[in-house]
Amino acid sequence: MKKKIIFIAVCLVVAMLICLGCTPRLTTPDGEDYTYYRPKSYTSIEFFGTATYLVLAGNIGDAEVVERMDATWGKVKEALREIDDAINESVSGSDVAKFNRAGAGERVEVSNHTYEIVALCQSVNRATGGKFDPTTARLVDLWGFSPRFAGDYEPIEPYDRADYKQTLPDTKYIQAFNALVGVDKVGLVQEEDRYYLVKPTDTVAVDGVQYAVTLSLGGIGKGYACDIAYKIVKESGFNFGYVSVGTSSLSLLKATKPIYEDNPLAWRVGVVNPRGEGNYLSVKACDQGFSTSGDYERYYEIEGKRYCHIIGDDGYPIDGGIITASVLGESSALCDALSTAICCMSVSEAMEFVQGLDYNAYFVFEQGGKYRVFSNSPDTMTINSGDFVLYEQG
Amino acid sequence: MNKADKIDNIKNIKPFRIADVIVYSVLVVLIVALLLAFCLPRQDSSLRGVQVTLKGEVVAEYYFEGDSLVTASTVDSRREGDKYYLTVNSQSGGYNVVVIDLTKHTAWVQEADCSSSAECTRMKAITKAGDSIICVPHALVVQGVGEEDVKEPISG
Repeated sequence: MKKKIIFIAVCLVVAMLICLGCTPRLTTPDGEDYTYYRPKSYTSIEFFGTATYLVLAGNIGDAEVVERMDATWGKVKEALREIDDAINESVSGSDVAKFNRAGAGERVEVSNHTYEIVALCQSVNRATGGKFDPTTARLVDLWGFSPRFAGDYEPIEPYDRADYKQTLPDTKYIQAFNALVGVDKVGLVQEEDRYYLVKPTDTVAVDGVQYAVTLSLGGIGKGYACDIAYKIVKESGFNFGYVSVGTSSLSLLKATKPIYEDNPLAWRVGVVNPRGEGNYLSVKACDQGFSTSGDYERYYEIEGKRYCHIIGDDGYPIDGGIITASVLGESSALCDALSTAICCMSVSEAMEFVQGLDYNAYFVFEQGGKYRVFSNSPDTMTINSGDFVLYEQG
Repeated sequence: MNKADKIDNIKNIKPFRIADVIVYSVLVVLIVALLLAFCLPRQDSSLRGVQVTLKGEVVAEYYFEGDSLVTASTVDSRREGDKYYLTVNSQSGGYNVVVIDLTKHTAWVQEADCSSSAECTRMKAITKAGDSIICVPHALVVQGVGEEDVKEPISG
């Protein structure tokens, strides 16, 4: 009998050891054991006219952790509501709507979010030689891509066309509105804890109607929102997951599912194929922001030519050859603005620009019937589609 | 004891007593259970139910286990065979019809008047926890509830 008991005990110990051996422990360099972390995702379409996703990973078997996840989502939503209320040009009380309604030279009190975003815009504008500029807002409206075109569109402005997807804008408006562009002319004033934007004094007149500078922060706002959400998530004690605003902008924490051998905590970010189905590219990213822009998101075609929502420095929708650009780096807001700026460059300008950039950049252009992918950090990416090939200089 | 007696003696001894069989069976079951729990990949993304939110507010929740459906007053529900049809009325006067298939454990948006293209009706049906269908004009989200698989982020 004694021998049997010993035999059974030995069997159980061996079985336990086998089982433990089958389960590799997953631990971060900081010692956080995430072997049994599971994801919980949240979705909202209340902000920026698009979908926001928050994925948090933790021990979801622990009620306290789940409660903290829910509370974190609540805090993220509160912050996104605040940012959307400040920068959404279609919300009449927003800072941007107030700025756009103000007369030339007027000072408009804004939230610290709007102030910070405009300051960021000015620094990206300088760094990109004016390629990124949120004061193209009136041109965006002229070409039919501002928020009022998303719903039931009614022509109300003198330059509106009823069939704006079939008729190009009048050149006089393109030239006039392009003369208003220049975010560097927007004044930034801080007085203690109050923030102001000063509208440039420049105006243009077309057919007797005066137009002043207007702003649209859509090219950076989603990235900025991701940065704020990332901060909230980290402060709430979560290190695993990601935030996505409209899928164009992401803030990535750590990944619970090891994919890359050299960095098991990195996410594999899929980048949408701009000319087909699925993802054309995968990028390795961990504790970073990521953003993608391109001519495929919103566009219409007239006589076989594509007109998209990104306006170049000539006042026309981009036509420099870059189809899509993605940027990976510390700040999602900067990634967002830089990906748009790269789309506004010619291929050669973009190659030169990204080679001097301390963020990782990936962009696509067409050459010889193939889509070429150029990157300043090709070791961080994998091309997933046979229609795309890595462009190698030389 | 001669050789023949020894053989008879061994023949008379039962290889296993009933108690032994029970103990060994329990041991085998225990070892198999431990192996399943630790070594085999976990059954991910089992869809336990479907949640429908309108402007962030939960307006309908269905759980396959127990066949329980809870809806807000803005949702009209009817059951036909093995499917629930939920007509979710938005504040703007529009609607989306969400179908939940109780046998196939899946859900999709069948009909909507959100736009001429009604993108939400063309989105992939929910089959896993964490899957979602989004109707931006009506601010409607249909989401799979349950233990989720890790979804890789997409940008673009």
